Amino acid sequence: MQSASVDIVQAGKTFGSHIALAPIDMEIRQGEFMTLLGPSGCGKSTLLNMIAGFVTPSSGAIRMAGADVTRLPPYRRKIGMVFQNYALFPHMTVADNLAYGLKMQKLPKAEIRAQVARTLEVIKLTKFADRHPRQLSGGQQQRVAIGRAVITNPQVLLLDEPLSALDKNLRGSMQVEIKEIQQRLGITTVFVTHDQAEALSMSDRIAVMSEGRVRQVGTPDEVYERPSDGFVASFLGDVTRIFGRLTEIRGGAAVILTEAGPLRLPEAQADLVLGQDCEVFIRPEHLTLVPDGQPAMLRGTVAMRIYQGGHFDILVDHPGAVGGHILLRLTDREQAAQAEPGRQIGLHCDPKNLRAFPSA
Amino acid sequence: MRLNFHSIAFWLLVSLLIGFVLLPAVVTAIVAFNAGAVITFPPKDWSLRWFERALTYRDFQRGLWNSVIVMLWTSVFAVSIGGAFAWVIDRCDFPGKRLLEGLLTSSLLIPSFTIGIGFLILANQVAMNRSFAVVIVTHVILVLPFVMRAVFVSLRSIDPSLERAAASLGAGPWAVLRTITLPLMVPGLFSGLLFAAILSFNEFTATLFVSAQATQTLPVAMYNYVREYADPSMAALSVMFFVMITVVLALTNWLMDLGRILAIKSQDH
Ligand SMILES: Nc1ncnc2c1ncn2[C@@H]1O[C@H](COP(=O)(O)OP(=O)(O)O)[C@@H](O)[C@H]1O
Ligand SMILES: [Mg+2]
Repeated sequence: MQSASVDIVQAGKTFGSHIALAPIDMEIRQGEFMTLLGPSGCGKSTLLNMIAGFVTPSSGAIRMAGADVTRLPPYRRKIGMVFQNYALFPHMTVADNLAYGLKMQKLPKAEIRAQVARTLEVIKLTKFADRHPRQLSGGQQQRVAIGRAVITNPQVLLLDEPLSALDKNLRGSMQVEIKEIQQRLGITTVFVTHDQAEALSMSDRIAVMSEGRVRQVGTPDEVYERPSDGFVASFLGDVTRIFGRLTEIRGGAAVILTEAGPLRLPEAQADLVLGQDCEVFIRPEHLTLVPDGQPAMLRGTVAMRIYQGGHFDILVDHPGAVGGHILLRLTDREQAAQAEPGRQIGLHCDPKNLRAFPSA
Repeated sequence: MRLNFHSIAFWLLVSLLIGFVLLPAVVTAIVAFNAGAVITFPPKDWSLRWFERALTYRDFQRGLWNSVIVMLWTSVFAVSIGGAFAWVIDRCDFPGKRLLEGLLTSSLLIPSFTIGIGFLILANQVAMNRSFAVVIVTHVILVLPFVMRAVFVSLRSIDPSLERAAASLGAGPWAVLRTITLPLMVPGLFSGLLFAAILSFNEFTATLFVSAQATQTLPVAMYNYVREYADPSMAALSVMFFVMITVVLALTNWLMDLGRILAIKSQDH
């Protein structure tokens, strides 16, 4: 079966008077890995279940491969789904779990056996075919769940926080496995997570959601480097925010007055009106140390230096920053050695990497 | 000293409780081996004649047979009806759902003899007062609340995402019921079956009204017997009851344990 594009057209969901999902438009392209990213309760599962058919939209429509499926029950949509708790059938063996979807399609027995054997190989569980799910580890159960979801060759693969029950090491390798299977099959995939690192590493595109709305849809690079609002900027990756106010716009540059003095950034990067209270966003990896005695954009005292293995995180006291600290990330050990706790340091950031959004 | 006194008091209390619980059974068991025709305690002479009497008395034989018939039919009907309604009430949404649930479990609130009299009158109206049907219907009504409770508990312990997973794999509502829900309901249905069987076998109050000479169950036959005779055969019957129930419980226990052991074994391999 050909994998399909998914069009969400002004689809929204209300539960009583509670708006779980404001009407949204979203186009998921054929073969694309789309991640729905946002904090718990923002409506990710509601949107995913609307695509699956478990939630009927209060308004709007869902299309798969161009065909309207809004009123189609889940078992008539050609989907594969992976649940947070795997939802493996406890009374069936691994092989029977995998065969379930094929049996529903009434395929010949021999064909089912062959496909199950092939899938067992893909998920590396051939030796476990006759075990029951409770006899498998979390990672193995996860692989069965994925195998079961893709064995029927669905048009769309839907995953609802599939990795959140696994420990961190396993999560990393499962991310790679899911991505590999997805690319090999070229299957349109909608992946739900609240973990921004997971979203950034796996997705073709990310839809960042909050409070029932989609804030931004874009490639990982776009949402990270060019966030459309303060929520997106602070939800993805680490960021330092500095309070300020837009005081003037001159020659294509916006001047924002902060505790640390005026900060200048390209006008296009400040979506503000004159006099508006705002926050300036700075990524930790965009800050550099300024040699002693030279002018610096920001100054402060090093409060803490945290060894992170591959890099150092340095917290610099600054009264103008949200939380009272600026976060600086150094990979160079010699530079990090200079940032000794208690020492006064100067910091610089290229204005093109600064961004300003209205205060929340 | 004080500690000693406390522990003595504690064990005294425990012994009293055990004695209190077991005393009737022990007294009855001893009486059953009486040789005389009148109940004397303790017996002067010993014999097994009352066991023989209980086993060969025609009304008891019939009563036991009737009890088994009623118990089997009651269990089958109560579990199918209770199971189906429990599923409908738990998984479907429709107006009057709470009312239906209340109705099906209402026999908990109505005294058994009221139900018995009610069915007796109804059965008379349709000239079915001598049939097993009326006894079985009465028993089904009486055990239904307990069966439904057992099924509800097992239904609610089924993870709803299992049924969703099945639907996402192309299973329609009936296929989901047949391949996922029903198999996972088996433990609940089984405990419902046990409830129904035990309650039906022990039921006396309502059965007294709805059974006729030909359909009387063992408890009713025993009641009729003690109205006429006061010999120790009743005690002998009690001992046999006790032994039977112990055997059944031990068997169930063994089966369950066996299930657990098998599960653990297969987990290890
Ligand atoms: N069946 C439901 N009835 C009422 N409210 C619901 C229901 N399902 C979800 N909600 C609400 O809708 C919002 C979004 O839920 P959900 O999509 O599960 O969020 P997420 O998956 O992002 O954590 C939440 O506020 C949740 O409480
Ligand atoms: Mg969710």
